[in-house]
Amino acid sequence: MLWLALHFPLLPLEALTRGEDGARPLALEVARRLRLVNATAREAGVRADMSINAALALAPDLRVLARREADEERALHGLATWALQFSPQISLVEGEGMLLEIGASLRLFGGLDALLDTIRAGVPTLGFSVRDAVAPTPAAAWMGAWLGVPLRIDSSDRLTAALAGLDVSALRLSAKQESRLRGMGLHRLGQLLRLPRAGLARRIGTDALDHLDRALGRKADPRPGWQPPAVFESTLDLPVEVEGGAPLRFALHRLVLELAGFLRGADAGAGVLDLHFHHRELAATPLTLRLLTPGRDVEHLEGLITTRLERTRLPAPVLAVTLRCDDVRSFETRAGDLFGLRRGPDELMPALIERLRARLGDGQVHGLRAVADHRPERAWHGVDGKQGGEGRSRRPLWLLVEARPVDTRRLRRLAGPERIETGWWDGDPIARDYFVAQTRDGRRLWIYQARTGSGPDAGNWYLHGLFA
Amino acid sequence: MSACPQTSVAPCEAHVAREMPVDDAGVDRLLRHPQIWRAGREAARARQMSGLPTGFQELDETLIGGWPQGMLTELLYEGDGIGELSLLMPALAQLSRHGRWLAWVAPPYVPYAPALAARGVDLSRVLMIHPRAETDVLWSLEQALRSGTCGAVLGWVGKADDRALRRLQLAAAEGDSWGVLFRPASVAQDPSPAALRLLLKPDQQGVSVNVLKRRGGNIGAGVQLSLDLG
Repeated sequence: MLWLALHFPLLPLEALTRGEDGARPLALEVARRLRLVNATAREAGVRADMSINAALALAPDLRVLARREADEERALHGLATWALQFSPQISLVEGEGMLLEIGASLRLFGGLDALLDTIRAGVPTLGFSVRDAVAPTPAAAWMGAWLGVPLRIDSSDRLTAALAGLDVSALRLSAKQESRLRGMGLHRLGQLLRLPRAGLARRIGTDALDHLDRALGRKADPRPGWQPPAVFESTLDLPVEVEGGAPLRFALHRLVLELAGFLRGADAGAGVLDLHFHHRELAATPLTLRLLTPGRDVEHLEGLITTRLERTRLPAPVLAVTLRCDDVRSFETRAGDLFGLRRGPDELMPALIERLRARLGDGQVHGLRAVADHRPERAWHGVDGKQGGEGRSRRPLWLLVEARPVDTRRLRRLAGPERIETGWWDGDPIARDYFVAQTRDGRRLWIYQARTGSGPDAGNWYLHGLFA
Repeated sequence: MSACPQTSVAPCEAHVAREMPVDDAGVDRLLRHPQIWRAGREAARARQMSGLPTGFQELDETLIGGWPQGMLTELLYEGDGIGELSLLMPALAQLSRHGRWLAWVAPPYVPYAPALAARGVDLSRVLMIHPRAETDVLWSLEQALRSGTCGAVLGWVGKADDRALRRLQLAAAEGDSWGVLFRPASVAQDPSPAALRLLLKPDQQGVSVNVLKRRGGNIGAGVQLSLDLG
């Protein structure tokens, strides 16, 4: 077993600001004092523990937010959903971070360094700061991440030596207990470990001693596994109401990243994406995207959403965006995807069709299929996917969707008549004599005369096709 | 034919997407530089040497090998229904039977599926694209040409300026696709980057084809084809 601990030190703050890019100074307050500040605020000189007034004097555009625990929980679940792509075995540390068992996935990701690089690059794109540590026990890994010490312990033999250097605050003792230890000159875990066990228990309590034993692997440390949701749903609040444009695209990018992680973890692709753009007063604007083949490529999905969004009228500014995907389909990763080889037309075609549909509308892009019906206008059909059909008769290549009246006086007859008479069984009978005729400028037309007795248009001539 | 106003079916008029921020002269100069290798270009050139057989022996001779792939072909004519599709059918049928897709962008009428099938086109390889807005016609053409999935992309484009066509020409090279634009004969005098421009005129048995422009020469050549009109 190898555990990766991910600690999100600014989670309470960043959970409230996922929808923005961090360019603005932000701080979280508890009881009129700042508790957490983001990097932009820190650059302006703002520190945690300052009073709000003092901080505002340093950074007049500082936005001070109050803590919302429900949002923190939501954010942590979102991060865990995203992290499913790295490990199916995830355990949450409430309000602070998570632990991933990565022993089984190291090879898949090309080793520990490659895996950590991916995670360190990925978490900030979701809008969170992260500290990580790796150890054979979850408690040891968590101590490292929480202290901000990037432990890399891959074998139990080195566990004791590596933990010896950690600060005693890793035990999360009460302030009183901790200061008593420090008063005795005990600052490092290694110093505690050299003490007689009975005396140590008296000084730090049995709970802390158990904690230390679990970290050292001397005591079992079962962690409850996090149950991933079957359906992806995530909502992102925007910092201010937006009409669209870059801030909205930014929020969508984060949502799609989160979804992609979830889909990779499920080894699946999305079949349908449901988006809702929430407004202050009006009902949310829905937007649904159907994919021809299950997809999880971030760039492609994002392109489809933004293209469709450009063509969607938002009746009011947007406050928040929800992305939901309950149509999760198994996804076959082909060798071509893994090795970046050029893919064949059949694999690339759905992406082209989806791109076209996102911009032009679903109904504007379709296939073609021959239907066995004598009535020419029924013998073609738009089809959704890729279906074939056999042709039965030779006909003009162009057909008019609706036949138009035609003046036959200057036409020259080339062929005909061919009688087409059918359709009585479904209440739409036709009885027509078809001819091929040529205009003076050489165009060849497919025309017909409605037959006597077949309706009010009997005897009239119509243009129905062109021999293109 | 002026006598029957009801039958004078105007070709679909599409306007050009307005601004395409490309410094064409610069790009062109750059792309012609011998040190620059472009993906798809060599393949396209190799293919062009052999060409895509047209299915008409006389036309293959006139075009010295057949339809140029990875490039634009323009068919200029007045009035629909003079054999402008029949001319392409053998090549389209062959592409589709080799599993390559045929995209139809903004066709003025419905391609009649049984007739296409009768000429050997695999209908499962046909993609119909009907942009509602005129500006989307060129966008759709470019997407289909560039995608690398379409053996042929047919587009009914009325007005398109030189820059728009140049973009399509680049997209065709990139996607190694055969782009065919159907345009009114009135644009014959306009400049065009298309590798091949043919003027079509109706003929008693079929259609007469005149080469207005062809990369590699044989300009001014003409051929009369009798077409199987079904």
